[in-house]
Amino acid sequence: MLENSHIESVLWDDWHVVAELARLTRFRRFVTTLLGVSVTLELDPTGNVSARRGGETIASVQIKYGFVWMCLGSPTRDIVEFAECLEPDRLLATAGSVRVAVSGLRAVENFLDLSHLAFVHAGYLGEEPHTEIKQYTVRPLAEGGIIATGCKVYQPKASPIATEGYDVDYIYAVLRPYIVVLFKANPVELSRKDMIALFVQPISEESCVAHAFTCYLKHGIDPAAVRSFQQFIFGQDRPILENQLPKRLPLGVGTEVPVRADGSSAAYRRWLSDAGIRFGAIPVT
Amino acid sequence: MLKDPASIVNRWFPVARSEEVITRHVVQTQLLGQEIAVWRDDAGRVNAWENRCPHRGVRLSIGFNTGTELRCQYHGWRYATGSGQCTFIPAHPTQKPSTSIHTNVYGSMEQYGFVWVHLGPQTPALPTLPTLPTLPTPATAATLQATTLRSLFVEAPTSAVAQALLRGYRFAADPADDAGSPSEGSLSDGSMGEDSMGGASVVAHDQFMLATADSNGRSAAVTFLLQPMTESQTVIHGIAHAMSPAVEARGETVAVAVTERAAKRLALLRHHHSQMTALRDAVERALLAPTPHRVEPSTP
Repeated sequence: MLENSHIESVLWDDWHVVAELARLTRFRRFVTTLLGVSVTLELDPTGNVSARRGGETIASVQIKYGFVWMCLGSPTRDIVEFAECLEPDRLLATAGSVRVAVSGLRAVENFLDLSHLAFVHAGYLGEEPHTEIKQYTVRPLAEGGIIATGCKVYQPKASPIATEGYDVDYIYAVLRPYIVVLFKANPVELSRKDMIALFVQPISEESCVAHAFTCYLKHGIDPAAVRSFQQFIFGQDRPILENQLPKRLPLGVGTEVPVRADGSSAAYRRWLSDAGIRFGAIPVT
Repeated sequence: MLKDPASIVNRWFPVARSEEVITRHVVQTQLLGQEIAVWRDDAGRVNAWENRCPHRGVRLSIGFNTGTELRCQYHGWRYATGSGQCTFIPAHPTQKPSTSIHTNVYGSMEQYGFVWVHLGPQTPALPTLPTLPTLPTPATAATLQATTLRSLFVEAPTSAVAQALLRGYRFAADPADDAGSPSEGSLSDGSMGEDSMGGASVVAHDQFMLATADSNGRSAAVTFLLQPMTESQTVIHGIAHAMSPAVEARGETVAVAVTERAAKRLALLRHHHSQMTALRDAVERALLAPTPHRVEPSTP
């Protein structure tokens, strides 16, 4: 357990993704940064990953969902669990890690955002004139975080295997300050949901790596297509995110103006504020 | 120079040349550390807004200029020319946006070939635009022709740039006569202002406006307007007033006069650009030079 002088325990004593496992090559070190701390990862010949900060060994390292997870402090809870991942007809795939020069909290908020789809992802995840955001429900989760249900968006190409546009049902959940997941109706089995999670690695207060993880129903899906689609979509978000001022997420009211469609964003900011999140945020003064 | 922002915020600064604020385009610039999006509507009116959508803070300079509104790239919110009032929120297309949603609008005007911005409060009693000291008087207006120089970005505080200009910016009254050999030779020793073609010293009008004229009776003059972008970055804008070749045309055809005028204009631009580039290099080099530190004699 590393010494921590200033970062809030809710982040310091939690698990964060620090690398996609496939990025680690045997006998080669991988250096990255988590919460401002430079860490070195190493994969040994038996497939174990070890991590150090300087000469200090970091004990809390795990491999899960194809990523290397790390806790810099003493873990107070487990890595997030997804029941869908246990279903046998699922394809679990990492879908790219993208460095973004903005607070990771801005990246999470963007992932939650419905009304940008028709503009930033026009022709894929939304399209004019289908821009209206109908009322949806946001409520807090008992174990912390928020959930938005009843979200509906018209999408021209909602998934790598979609062939025509349709109204997609979405559920969004923020499970940890830097972890967000969405469930959307599968284009073939409409009663079941594909899942996409974003594990955001806070590098500094104003930069992050967004690690995408997908858990689609298997039929018709191949991992290369999943990665390609997600990276294409994230490539559209990145220039928008990197042009946000300020780079940290303002939690107080007044700096930015929300409307009803921003219900999940407003709830997310309120929850972050109540949870005492400062890293990557501009707290309420 | 930026130590007392309260006193300098209440004045007009040039932030862009009018000719670069073209139709359906958005120009990104900065004044006193504040990012500004400058755009022209289809009626020709110029807007200067804080470069930030009030919704989620995305730069408006990456948005679309529709000719009457600026549309944010992120969620398609639209803001009206003039007022900056939000006119349309696509997520709620049937609702009229609240009047409280608008961009942060700065005072702006166009004059002398530049867009001028005023960051202070938009009270009715705005300060007046400074008068250019070298503007041709009615008597000389017929013979002097104004040319906007290429604006130059300098990685240096405005005070350092002003000092360098004051130390001696030299130019030739009629660089077209010397078009074959621009003045690199005279600057090769690294010093500024030793131009063999002569010139006159620069006179400060105030800290952001400097004027100079050539020594032989003001047949040419240059005014520099300094745009303090941040505490360490400056843009030098310039206007040259030189003899118009048109009035010297001695019975040649109009076509010849026009060609000659174009050649003279080009020579003038080249001449000043090489002078200003040398000035920029010298200013930036001076700032990069290590400060000599005093070595204390060691006591045994």
